[in-house]
Amino acid sequence: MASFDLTETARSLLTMEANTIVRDNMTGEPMPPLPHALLDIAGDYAGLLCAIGVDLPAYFATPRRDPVTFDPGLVDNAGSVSDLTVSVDTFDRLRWAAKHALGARNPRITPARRILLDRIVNNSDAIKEMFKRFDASLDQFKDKSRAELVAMTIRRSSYAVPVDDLIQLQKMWDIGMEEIVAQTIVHITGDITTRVQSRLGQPGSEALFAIHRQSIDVSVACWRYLLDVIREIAGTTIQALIGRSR
Amino acid sequence: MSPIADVEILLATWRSAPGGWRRAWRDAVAFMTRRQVLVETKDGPAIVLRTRVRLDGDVQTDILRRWLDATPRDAIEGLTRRHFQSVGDAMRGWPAVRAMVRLGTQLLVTLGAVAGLGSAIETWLRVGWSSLLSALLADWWTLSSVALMALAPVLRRVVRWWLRRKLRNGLFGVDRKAPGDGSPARP
Repeated sequence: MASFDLTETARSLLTMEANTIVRDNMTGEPMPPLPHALLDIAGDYAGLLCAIGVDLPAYFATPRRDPVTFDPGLVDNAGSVSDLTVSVDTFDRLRWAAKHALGARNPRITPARRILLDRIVNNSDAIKEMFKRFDASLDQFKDKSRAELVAMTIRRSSYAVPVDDLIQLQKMWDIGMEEIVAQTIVHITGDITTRVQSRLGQPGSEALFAIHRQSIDVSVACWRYLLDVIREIAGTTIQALIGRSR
Repeated sequence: MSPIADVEILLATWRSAPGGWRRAWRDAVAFMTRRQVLVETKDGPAIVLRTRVRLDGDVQTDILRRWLDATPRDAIEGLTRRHFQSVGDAMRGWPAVRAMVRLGTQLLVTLGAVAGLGSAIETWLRVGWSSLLSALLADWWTLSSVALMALAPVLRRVVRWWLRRKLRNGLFGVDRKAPGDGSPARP
């Protein structure tokens, strides 16, 4: 059973992040079980890489080549990848594909896409680290494809994951490959940083900015409640951490 | 925090949030299960605004592009105001739950103390000092009162354990073959 540790979550409460995303469609689906969620994340990343023109099938071709040294470059009609699995290898190959695309001098790598590629690199690295922390209960899902997972019965009690990792994975799954149009980071020290997409500087974006501003107001108002939640459910170590930081 | 302050929190929740303390409890449990507060607002059949307040302090607001582009500014402002009001209400459930648990434990201690003290005085008046201890140990009222007082910290630990369990298990590990259970994976 994974240990109950909210240290990372408590630490992350030292800063608050308000992200505003404009989506083309919204569904109310909750996050699926963890193995499916990992494949959803990998699928999103693979989809963007293929859209940019990364020759992803070459990264996943058999026999497998070392992705660190193998850079097939961008192609015009990139095919899709169907053999993504719940594995470190999948996220390692996606990570290197994104890293190589970042180094490519190509007009398809726009500043907005560069941010998404950075996200793929960082999140893939984070997921690879999580795999090291996953306990034996998740071994049953490792190296499984979507079809193999669907054929399985995934039960609530059949695996355990550290809560900090769950929270991080949920955020990765929620955001996926959506572009964040406005982001504000509020530090507990009082520093505030806001980043907005350059095209939002044009007239007509006032409504969007008003929504983002209200989102920041709610974030700050909720801060105390979130500290209370962590203090209530976490252990004494975290209570001390939060107590010191207030 | 004093019991009066806890009662004030509960009254404020009762007045401000629709659904009162029941809604507060449901919101707190949903927060643990989803590890985030999720508020969605519809304009017609479509979800147009969705805000997630995550346990790690991140707030994400999703806006439906076609709604943002096609809706008059005043209508957007009105709906946005109501949406963020709902987010604030959902978050206010947590202090109410804490106040409920605190009041519950304090009530148990008070009930136990009053019942135990009353029983002890009655026993003392009946048997005097000489055999008071043995009489108290044989008195069900006194023993029940002590047990009631001991139950208070246990109740608090049970609630904490239950919330942790909700947080840990959450919405994962659902049987995907069970009808109506879990959510479909993306194709």
